[in-house]
Amino acid sequence: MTEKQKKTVKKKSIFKKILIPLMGLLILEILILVCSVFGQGIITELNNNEKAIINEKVESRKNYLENEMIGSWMNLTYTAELINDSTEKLLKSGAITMQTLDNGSDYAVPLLSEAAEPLLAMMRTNHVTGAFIILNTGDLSVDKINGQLKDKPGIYLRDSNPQAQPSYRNQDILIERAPIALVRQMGIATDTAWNPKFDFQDSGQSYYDFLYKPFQAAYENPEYSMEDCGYWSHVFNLFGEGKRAIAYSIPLKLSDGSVYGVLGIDITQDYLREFIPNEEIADSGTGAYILALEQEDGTLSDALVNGAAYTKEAEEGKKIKIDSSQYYAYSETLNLYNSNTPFSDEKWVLTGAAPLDSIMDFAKKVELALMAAVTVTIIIGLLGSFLISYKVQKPVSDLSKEIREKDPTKRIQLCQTGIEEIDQMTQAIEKLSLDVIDSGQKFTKIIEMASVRLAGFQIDRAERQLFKTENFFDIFGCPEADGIEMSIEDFDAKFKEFKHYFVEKDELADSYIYKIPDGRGSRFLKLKCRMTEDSCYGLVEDVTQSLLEKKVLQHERDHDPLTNLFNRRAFRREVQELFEERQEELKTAALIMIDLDNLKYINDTYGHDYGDKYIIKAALAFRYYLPAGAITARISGDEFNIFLYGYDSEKEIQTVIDTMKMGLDSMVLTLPGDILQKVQASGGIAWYPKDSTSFEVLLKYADYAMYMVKNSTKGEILSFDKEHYLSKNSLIQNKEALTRLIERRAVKYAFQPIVDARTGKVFAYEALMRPEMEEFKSVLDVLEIARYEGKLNQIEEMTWFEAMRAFVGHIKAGTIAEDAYIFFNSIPNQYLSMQAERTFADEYREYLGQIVVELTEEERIDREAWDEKRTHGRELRRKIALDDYGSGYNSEKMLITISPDYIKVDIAIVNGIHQSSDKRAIVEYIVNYAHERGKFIIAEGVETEEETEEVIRLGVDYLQGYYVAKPTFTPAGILPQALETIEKMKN
Amino acid sequence: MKNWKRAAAAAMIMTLTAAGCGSGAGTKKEKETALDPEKPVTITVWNYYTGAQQTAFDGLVEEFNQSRGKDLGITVKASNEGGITDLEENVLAAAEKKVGAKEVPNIFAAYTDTAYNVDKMGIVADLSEYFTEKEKEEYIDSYITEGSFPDGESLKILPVAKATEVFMLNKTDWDKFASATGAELSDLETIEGLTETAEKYYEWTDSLTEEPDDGKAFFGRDAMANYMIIGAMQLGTQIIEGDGTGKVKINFPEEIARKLWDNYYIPFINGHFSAAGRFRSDDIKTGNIISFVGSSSGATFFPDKVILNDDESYSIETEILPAPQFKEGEGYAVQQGAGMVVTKGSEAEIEASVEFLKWFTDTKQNTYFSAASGYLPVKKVANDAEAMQKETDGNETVGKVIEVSIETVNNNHLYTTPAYDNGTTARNVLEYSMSDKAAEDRQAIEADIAAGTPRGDAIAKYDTDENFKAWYQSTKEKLEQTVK
Repeated sequence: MTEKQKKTVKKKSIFKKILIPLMGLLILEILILVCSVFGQGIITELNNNEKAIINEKVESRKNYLENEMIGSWMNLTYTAELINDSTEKLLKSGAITMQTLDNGSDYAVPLLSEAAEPLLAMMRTNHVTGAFIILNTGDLSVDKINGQLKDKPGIYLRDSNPQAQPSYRNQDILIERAPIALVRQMGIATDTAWNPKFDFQDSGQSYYDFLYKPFQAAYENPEYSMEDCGYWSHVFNLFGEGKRAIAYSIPLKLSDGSVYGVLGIDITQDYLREFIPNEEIADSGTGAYILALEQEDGTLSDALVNGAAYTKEAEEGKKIKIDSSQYYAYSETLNLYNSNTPFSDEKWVLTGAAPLDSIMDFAKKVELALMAAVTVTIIIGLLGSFLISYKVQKPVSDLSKEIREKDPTKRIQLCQTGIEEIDQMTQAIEKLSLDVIDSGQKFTKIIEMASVRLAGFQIDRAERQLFKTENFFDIFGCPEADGIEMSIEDFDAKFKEFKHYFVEKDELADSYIYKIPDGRGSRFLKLKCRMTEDSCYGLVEDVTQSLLEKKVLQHERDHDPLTNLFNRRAFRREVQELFEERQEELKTAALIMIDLDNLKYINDTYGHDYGDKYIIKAALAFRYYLPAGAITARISGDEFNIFLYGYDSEKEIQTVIDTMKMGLDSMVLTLPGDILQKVQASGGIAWYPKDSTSFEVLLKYADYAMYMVKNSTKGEILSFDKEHYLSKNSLIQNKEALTRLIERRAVKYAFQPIVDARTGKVFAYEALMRPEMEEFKSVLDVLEIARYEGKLNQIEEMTWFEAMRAFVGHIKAGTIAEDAYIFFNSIPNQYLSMQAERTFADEYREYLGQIVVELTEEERIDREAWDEKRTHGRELRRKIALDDYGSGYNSEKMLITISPDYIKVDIAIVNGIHQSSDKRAIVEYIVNYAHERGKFIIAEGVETEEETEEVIRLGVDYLQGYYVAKPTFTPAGILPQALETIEKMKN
Repeated sequence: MKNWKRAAAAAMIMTLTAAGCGSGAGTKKEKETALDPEKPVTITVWNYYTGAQQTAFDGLVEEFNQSRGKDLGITVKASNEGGITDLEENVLAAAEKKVGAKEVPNIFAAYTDTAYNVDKMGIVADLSEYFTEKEKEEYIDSYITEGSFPDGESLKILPVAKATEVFMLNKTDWDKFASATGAELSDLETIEGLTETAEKYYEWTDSLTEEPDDGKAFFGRDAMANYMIIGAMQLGTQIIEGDGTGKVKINFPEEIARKLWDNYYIPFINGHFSAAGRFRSDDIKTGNIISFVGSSSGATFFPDKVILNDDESYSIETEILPAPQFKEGEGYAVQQGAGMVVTKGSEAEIEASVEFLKWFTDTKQNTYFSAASGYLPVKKVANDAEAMQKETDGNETVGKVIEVSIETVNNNHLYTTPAYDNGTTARNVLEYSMSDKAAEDRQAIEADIAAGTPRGDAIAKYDTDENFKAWYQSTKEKLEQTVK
């Protein structure tokens, strides 16, 4: 995981990871539960169900009541018929007359005493609370209009409990109305309100509805039967008696149509209540059944109520209007009258009224239970989630803490959590710990096996832990420190003790070298550190061996094995470093170039061993008499360079030089035959910064100064004379011209044929540079200035490319044969850069095999440059020609050194060869030498027929010279004269 | 982990401890109750109350249901099951599970005899263990004793309202008579005096009209059995004599019978006494008689006016006097009024019944009921005339009845017949044998008179020793039949 990812992934504890989803789940469950209950309208549904239940109850209750009323209470006809029979009989017998019947009890008693029995029987049979018969024969409405009500005879009986078994002695019955005669006759107790007659006249009581309504209906409508005129009276109290009741009565009507009274029953409110139990509407009697007459406006009048609600209103005779904000009411109409009967528009209804509270009670209970369940669920869920989360988190966090506190380098043993997966993980960690320790030990062992001693450590700053290899301090020579438990601070402190052994820091490799004294010598330790954000890794390596080996190699590379002085390369490096990087250290400095005199002589005379000894003597002088800061080097055989710097004045340096010169002069080499040879050297001094601030220029000036000495007095060391240098080398002033020449490549090449001395055929052309600028008369001028300007290298490069370009141009122009070779001059101590070599090789690949490089004798050969050139040349099938053989001072050495393929005999040898036996001997010798070694001889500067004949006779292989062909910009063939000579010589 | 386990254990212990404490407290408090307001019990009470008594009783039942009953989970349903005789029959029918009979009620009103009979069927609960001794002592001793059968230890009938007999008088008409004849109320203290006064009254009323032999009856009795039993007691004879174990013997000496005969049958056939309506209060109402001995519980039925016919009526004042006793007899008064019998049922039902009865007989309720009905409270402290007067709420008659009743209770031995198997039958014999014969013979005499026989002759025909002896023998036999 990358650092960035780490940051984006929010870390949560296991506790939260478990708790939060569990909570979420809990909330979701509760939401689903609550939504499923409330969302689906279950509560409303429950309420509706409750209402529907009430509706059903009211309906069935109404049916029951209706059955009871119609089927039982209203069965009056039979009794009416019985009474009618008695009446008819009594009328016939004259015991009563219709005219006097309702005049008073005495007139009515005969009929009433006949009617008493059936009336009583009817009351029993119909299970009603009262039964009555009232006699009347006249139009009651007339009395009403007149305001003169009349008393009416009759019987009114009350049964206190119609549902109880009838009393044999009628002890459960009270007489409310009956003539005295009947009271005695019936043996039934009178109620306190007993009256012999129905008293309307004085009591102020108007005609009861149950008398008036059915009687008048029958009286006024003869066509109606008794039943048709049956009427349920409004609520009434019998005068003098307190019970609220309703009554049903029918008119008593004889077959002739005369109406003589009413027969009826009553139902007291108390009794009715048994038929309309309000408990079934709502618990604990809070509901109510109301039997009442429904008015047009929906209110209820004449209500008989069972239940607390509206009882008071009913008792007070008020109209009831159900308050729908408090009660749920449902009404059912009782079908008590036949259609089109006089009272069929009276609408008796049974209303069930339940307090809304009680209806919603169940729903509320459900709601409460639900809320309780939700609350309990939440509490249990919360506690449960918390406990579960805690139970899972606790062992894990304990374990985590335990693991953090454990030393990872020791074997870890952890407590069991009891959670299978985690215990498996724990075991894995324990095993891992063992593996780590094991591999740590393995690693230490491997480290111990290394050829160099190694030790390592790691500091974890974040975890404050230190890890080190077992014998870490042993490598520092303090094995006793390895036995001690160490904190990071201890480790740091211990490490600081090694501070004074610190020798150097390698910035690049970020490593530190410590030099630890170790008995006989020292050991070198290399400490490499790598820091990360919160860790530090270190590796300590014993580098003694490799460091020593490296130093030897370095020494060998930088030093001349003979003198143990710096070699040319080291010298240049050291001095160049001073010039380039430590210029401030230079102050006043001097570059001294010294050439040993007489070395060639000693070599030649006494052999190289003495030459070497001679050189060593000189080196010793330098060592003895030069101060430590001097950089001294042997550049080549007899040449030494000395660089003195950091002085305040030239004078100081001069003193040093003088001392050194005296020391040098004091050196004496004993040669064989006890000849004492003094060491003598010539030298030139170039001053810094007086002469130049450029190292290269100083070299040139010192060199110049040295040559001045060498070419004159010898044995002296003189300073560079700039004036002299400038006057003697006016050409040098043309250095700008040289730059232009190089830039413009302002040179042209003339081609001089080299022909086969046997056939006269042109074998090759030598490309000869011709500067195309006024400043330069000849190529020698160019070379001279280039040498002083340090631009020989550029001249070399130009030569290669331009000569080859011209050559190829001619081949392509057909002026040179395709298989012809090209010879051109190379400066021996210069060579092409790798880059240039590659470009050249690419450009002229197909001609590389035709190239012969001529090395002039003019410059002293640079061994290294040569080696380089030679190696490259071989690879590129390049051939070498030694130019001007026999003219220079070092021809044989060159011959051996460069081992050329062609040897060009110098013009000085060829010129007048036919007249000099010495010259002939040299040529004869070199031809033999060359031919024995598979090399070829070219005779240069053949100018006459005699010379031509002679060299051919001497066996040279090729000819070059004015006699054969002159150099021309357009390559020419062999001259006819030369061809003739060659032909002649063949023969 | 350990912590929450400990917490759970602690919670559990707390719960258990709380539960333990709860039950511990419960046992300390009282006897375990089977009542639970969450599971209401409905108990049925059968009674014989009618009229004002019924109203008062139902009112109290309603009050109970709304107050203490509600608290304890008891609903009482009261129903009138006819008169005391009908009630008994209905209870027996229910107990015997006769066809069409109702369920046995939890409580029914009963006289000792009925309770005794029902108890024999094994359905009567013994209430003694539901009452502490202290509670029992609050009731008037003889009331408790009456219900302690068959062994005197148990409690089978709880007295709720008691009655005794008083003498009620239409003072308005009496005053006319007294002022005309010089009759005095003190004449009415003895039965013999009453008999004489009745004759005097007949003669006085007869004299008021030209019409001969149209004298009016002065007196009537509601409960003939009481007359017979208490009369005999006053005269020193216990007609039904129990031995405390449910066994009885009949004592019915001829001279006692004769004295009873002479003081009821003889004045009755003479027209001095009468019984026309169902109760003698009805006879007062219709002007048939002007006095009677009846239960104090009938006080509310005592009329405030006399209605002679459709057109003639007048208001009357009422005088209440102690029931007359035999001149030379001992002071005995009847103790009547049914008690309440609790039938066996579930423990909750019995407890509920007892709770209701305790509440109903508690001084306040009992006093109220007594005052409204003319019954007597059953507790000693409630039998305080002054306190009762306050409750009568201006009903003068009832007030007087209670005053006299308490006086009667205080001045006399209260007596009720011991319960035995045929106690009811015996009582019925005593109730009807003389009264029925008297009524019958009086009817015959009246018919004879109407047929032209002179009044004296017509009466003389029945006022004979033979007639008495025949009746005596027949009645004695009937009585003795009940103990065979």
